[in-house]
Amino acid sequence: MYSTFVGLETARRALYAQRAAIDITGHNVSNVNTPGYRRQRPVIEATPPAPGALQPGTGVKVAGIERMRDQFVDTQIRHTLASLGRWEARQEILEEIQEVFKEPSDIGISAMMDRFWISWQELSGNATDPGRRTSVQQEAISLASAFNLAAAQLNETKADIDQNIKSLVHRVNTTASSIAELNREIVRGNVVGENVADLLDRRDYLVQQLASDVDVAVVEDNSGLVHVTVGGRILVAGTDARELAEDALITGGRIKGLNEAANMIIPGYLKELDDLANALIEKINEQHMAGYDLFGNSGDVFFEGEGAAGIRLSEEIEGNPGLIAAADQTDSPGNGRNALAMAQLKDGLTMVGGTATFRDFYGSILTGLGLETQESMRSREVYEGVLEQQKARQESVSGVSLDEEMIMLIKYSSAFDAAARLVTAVDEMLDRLINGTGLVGR
Amino acid sequence: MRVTNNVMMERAMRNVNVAFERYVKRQEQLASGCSINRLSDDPHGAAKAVRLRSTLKGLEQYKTNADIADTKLRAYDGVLDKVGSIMNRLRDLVGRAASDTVTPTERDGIAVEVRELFEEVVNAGNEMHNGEHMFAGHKVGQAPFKVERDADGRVTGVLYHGDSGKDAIEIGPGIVISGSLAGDEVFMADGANVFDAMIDIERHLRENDVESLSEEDLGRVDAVVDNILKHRAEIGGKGKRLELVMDRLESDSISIEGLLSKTEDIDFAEAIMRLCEQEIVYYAALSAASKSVQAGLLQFLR
Repeated sequence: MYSTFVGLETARRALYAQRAAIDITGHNVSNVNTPGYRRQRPVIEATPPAPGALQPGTGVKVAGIERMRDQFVDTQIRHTLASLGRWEARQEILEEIQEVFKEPSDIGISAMMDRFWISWQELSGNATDPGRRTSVQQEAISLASAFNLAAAQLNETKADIDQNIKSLVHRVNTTASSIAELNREIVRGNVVGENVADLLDRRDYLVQQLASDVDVAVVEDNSGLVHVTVGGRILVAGTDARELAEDALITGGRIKGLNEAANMIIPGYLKELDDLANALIEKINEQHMAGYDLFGNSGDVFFEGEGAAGIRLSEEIEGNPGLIAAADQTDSPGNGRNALAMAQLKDGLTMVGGTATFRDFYGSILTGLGLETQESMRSREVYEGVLEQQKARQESVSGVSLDEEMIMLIKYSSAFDAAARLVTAVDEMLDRLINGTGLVGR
Repeated sequence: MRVTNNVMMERAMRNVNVAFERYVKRQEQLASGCSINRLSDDPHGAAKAVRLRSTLKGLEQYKTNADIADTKLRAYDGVLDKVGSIMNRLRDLVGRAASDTVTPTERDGIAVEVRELFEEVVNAGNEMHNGEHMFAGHKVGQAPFKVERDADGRVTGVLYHGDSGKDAIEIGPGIVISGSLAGDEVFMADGANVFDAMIDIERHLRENDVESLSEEDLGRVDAVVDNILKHRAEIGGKGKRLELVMDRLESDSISIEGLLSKTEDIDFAEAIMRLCEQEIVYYAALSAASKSVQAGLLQFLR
């Protein structure tokens, strides 16, 4: 036989278990919008009967709290975030570079070049006209400043990126120490048997944040610690956080994208601009030195300096447009044949080993830039789509559904009501036994 | 698959964002009238537009140049026309003076007129256009023809201080024409030197050299007239050519403008239609979002 009061104990356990389940549901509902939160579920078990024949069960208990998580999707999401971070960074920088080139428009380098050539043509028709000489001088200054400005803006963008990378590295290091700190808390919690579900969520969330900055490899060991490596270098080893190694071979994430932009993309465009500017300087000067100025002297250099950042009109010509060598022979001020030869450089095959005009070369820079930007936009869109699907998969496991939680709430609260009823039933039974029996013959 | 409220909301948000982004893009195209607002909108199209625009600017300049050449040639033609009339008058005078019926006094009178005509020809040779001496070659800053006189003020000859330089005006890619004539070729050509001829004629008139007047001078005037006509014919030929070139430049720039417009301009009817289409998509996304975000069991629980 078993105790008369077992029924009360069973009911107590039921009340406790259902209340715990309701509280867990409440926790889920409260955190429906918490980033990184994963749905929790009570693990409800029947408690075993007392030993002996024909013993009824002893009720229920909450054996644990299960954290709903698909580790495989988590890993996939980290990879996608790293690729997405990289392409996003590239796209941002490429769009900035597009703004630097300001094409197609009437204020870009191509418009300045057109106006420069036209000013020479006009001069060729009337080589003594001081107005036309001044116009060549001014257009040359505009063209040179368009180059200078573009180069300066590209360099500025590069400097901004370097700054940006520094702050990202700082963020990575801070996150790494937070992860190490959480590792410590989790291990301690596990040892003393605390519920660490929310700490685990927080840690997963931080690891995921790391992944969009830099591609990380994450290993979870049996004791519940995560170890994070970046490009073969340890970032977090259990409870120990290190700085992001300088020689880490970063292959993804925002830092990778910015690195590519600062060390390949921007220098690439700078070099192409430099090539164009240097070819202009060389060809223009060569032709200019073959001519004669208004005073019958042979022409000196027209453009000084080197590269897109350095090109500028020669100081002498800036001071005296009469020094522009428009004539092709000495002592013939009205002769504009050299100016014409200058203007004809526009259509000369001067670039890429004599296969392209200045304009063709510049056009190919523009096409390249447009295509590269398009590529980064498309890649970003692709990874955004992939991420959306993976997040939906993650959500399908870990996400809180309010509808579901409401149903759970009804389910557990009904069970709670029923358990309360059980207490009443046992109580009535005991009342009958204690107060309603033993009165025979009174 | 288990779908949660968050998935639904995120999808709704993304759909609204994407629809709005496309809507704004269409609006930008319509507002700017350009289908290419940045390189990445159409990299090849953008580079093509840059190239076409530069070609167009070049064509505009060629047109301006052709106009300049045309104006210059007309100015030369005007001067040569004047010189031609002077030569006709001179021919009349020489013809009359060569006749036996004309008295020496009358010949002196004719000589006075010839001296005046001579001055007019010199002035024509030193004519200016746009502040430059037309017949000075490249030495446009100084009068090309200087009259030499002896102690009595009699003309002994004319010296040319210009050079034979001709300008070069580009009126098409690689097509260069000259819009100028060199003074020595027009006025002092071999066998058709107008100044020498006139100086001799004036002397023959004063000296009553009827023989030279009738046998040489008429022929020399004719040679000068021929030379001037030759140059005017050349100008006429160039004028024709310029006209053709200008016509072609005009039609070229129209077709390139068409290409450019096709490359970077939007078709307004289509753009407005697309904008409306996108507006509908955007509203649909908004309405879907508002409905899906509301729905939930909570609404049905007491």
